[in-house]
Amino acid sequence: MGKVYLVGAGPGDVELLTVKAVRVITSAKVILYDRLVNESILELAPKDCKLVYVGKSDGKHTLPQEEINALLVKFASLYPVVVRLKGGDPFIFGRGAEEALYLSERGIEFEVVPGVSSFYAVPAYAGISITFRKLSSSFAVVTGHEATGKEKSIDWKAFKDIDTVVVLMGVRNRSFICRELISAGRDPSEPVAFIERGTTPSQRVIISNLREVATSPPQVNPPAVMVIGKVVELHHQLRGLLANLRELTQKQKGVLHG
Amino acid sequence: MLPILILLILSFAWSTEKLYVVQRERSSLAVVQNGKLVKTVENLGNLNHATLKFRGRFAYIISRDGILSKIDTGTDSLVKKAKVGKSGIGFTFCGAKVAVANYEPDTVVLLSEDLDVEKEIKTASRNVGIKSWKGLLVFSLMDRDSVWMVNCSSGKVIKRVEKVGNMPFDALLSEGRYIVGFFKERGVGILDLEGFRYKKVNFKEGGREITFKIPHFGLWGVWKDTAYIPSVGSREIKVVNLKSFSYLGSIKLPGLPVFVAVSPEGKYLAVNYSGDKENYLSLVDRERGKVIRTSELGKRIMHFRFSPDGRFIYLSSYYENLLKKVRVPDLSVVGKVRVATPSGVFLYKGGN
Repeated sequence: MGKVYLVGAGPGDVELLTVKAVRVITSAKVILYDRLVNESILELAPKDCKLVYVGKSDGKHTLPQEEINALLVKFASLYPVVVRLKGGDPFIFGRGAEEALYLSERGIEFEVVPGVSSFYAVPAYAGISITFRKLSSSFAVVTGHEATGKEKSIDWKAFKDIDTVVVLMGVRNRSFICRELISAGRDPSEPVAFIERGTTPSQRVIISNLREVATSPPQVNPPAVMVIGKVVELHHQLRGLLANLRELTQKQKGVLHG
Repeated sequence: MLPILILLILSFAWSTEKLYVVQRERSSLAVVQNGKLVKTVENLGNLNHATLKFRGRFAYIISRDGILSKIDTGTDSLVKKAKVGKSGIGFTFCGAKVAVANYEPDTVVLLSEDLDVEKEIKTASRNVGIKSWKGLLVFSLMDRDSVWMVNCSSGKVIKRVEKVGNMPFDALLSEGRYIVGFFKERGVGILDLEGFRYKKVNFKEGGREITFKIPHFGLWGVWKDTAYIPSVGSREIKVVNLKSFSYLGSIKLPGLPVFVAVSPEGKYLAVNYSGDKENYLSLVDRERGKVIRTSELGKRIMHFRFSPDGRFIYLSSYYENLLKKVRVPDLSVVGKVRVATPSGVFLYKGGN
């Protein structure tokens, strides 16, 4: 029986892969990968490695989770190194723990390779530090996916006094989320940032505020990380000389594919 | 010779209108006159979504962090600053006073025109939609679902309308009616200020009620009884009659609209966009309800304003760091002034 590696692929920039993730990917015999993964990461895989797309986007499942679980077990019986590659970190809104439980119940050895999560890396590439002395000493990360779902498991009132709120997968429900946060008592003029396709050369930042998003939401295309809090204003001060994306674009043009 | 000629044409293209352009990342106002940046008024606080209004020869601007500033438009110098709260973006003039609606603290503040605080009205709510009408101050209490009326001279609350709707967020004054919109409810509330009667209405189409999301009123274009509402989430302007609240139809657009403005003579609407068309501005024939031209005029057009004669539009092109003057109706650029990170554009027409 082979070993399954649950690997975090990071938010997009290939160079944000961990050293361990690179080692595992370069020795993989099969990789099951998600939609959010930067596909150039797959170029690191050996030539004979089997690549299986099992991507899920917000609300659209290419493969049901049960089938992905079953595939992991099947491939573990066929190959020594199976990589389950997930965007960001496998244990942060990635259902990685569900897959780990499934493998564990069937006695299949697995290892978790944490990835750089988009919740802090994407804001960082936009010049937004989610903590900042005197501005933000607390932050919360929440999925916006369940916002109007059947479960209604999110108590938005709990986010009233958190300095910075980061919402992942919140684009579709952005207006609802902002209304709930205002309703919870947050300042309607508090700034909100959306960072589309963060850490990639096509990253785009949209700055608004809670009131505006609640009533007249700007167009935002997923995937995007949503940040609410005073730290959003750091974007204006830092973006001028922030070199992350400039270097990334140059590499994209030259070194990475050159 | 040709460059000199172009320069001459461009400088003639600017009239004597004076523009105040918010530079929100610099906490400053850029003053543009005759096609030149003539002055910058600095240290005005956090100017994200700042509101600027003129009163006589003075401009008043409130920052997001509660700093109200008074600027002399003759010298473009700061006359006075007053800290009126921690957070608030709405203010109005009422009689000889300036009234500010705060989010935080939970107050409405009355000041003299010289920005001396005269009265603070405790509301136990975040306050929005502050308007003045015939010596009355009218505003909405977000957290108490109420509308209050205050006598501007005495500062006394003279009327409270309770249970107006779920979380009022903004209001519009139209012919003696205070029209209020809600965060958590469709439709609008109408307070008849003459008779103090209040009712809630939904827009109607052929007798049938229709509901749609209402963006804040500052984004609407209004011409007489007709409102042109940038649609939330679709590429169109919704046209409604504000008297009958009948839905008159929609105007199809190439992008998701942000802000609609009506030209001073009512001939055109201009509209900017978010998302994939954020660099574009469209001009609409108002009567025909048709887009007549859409042009790429900047890099993220943040705001714009018609000139008083309707012949030009001034727009802020954020990522180009430019204020541009555009001719109507061909939307050709006839002038440019370098203004760093421009957003809101306000036009001073002289003493009023």
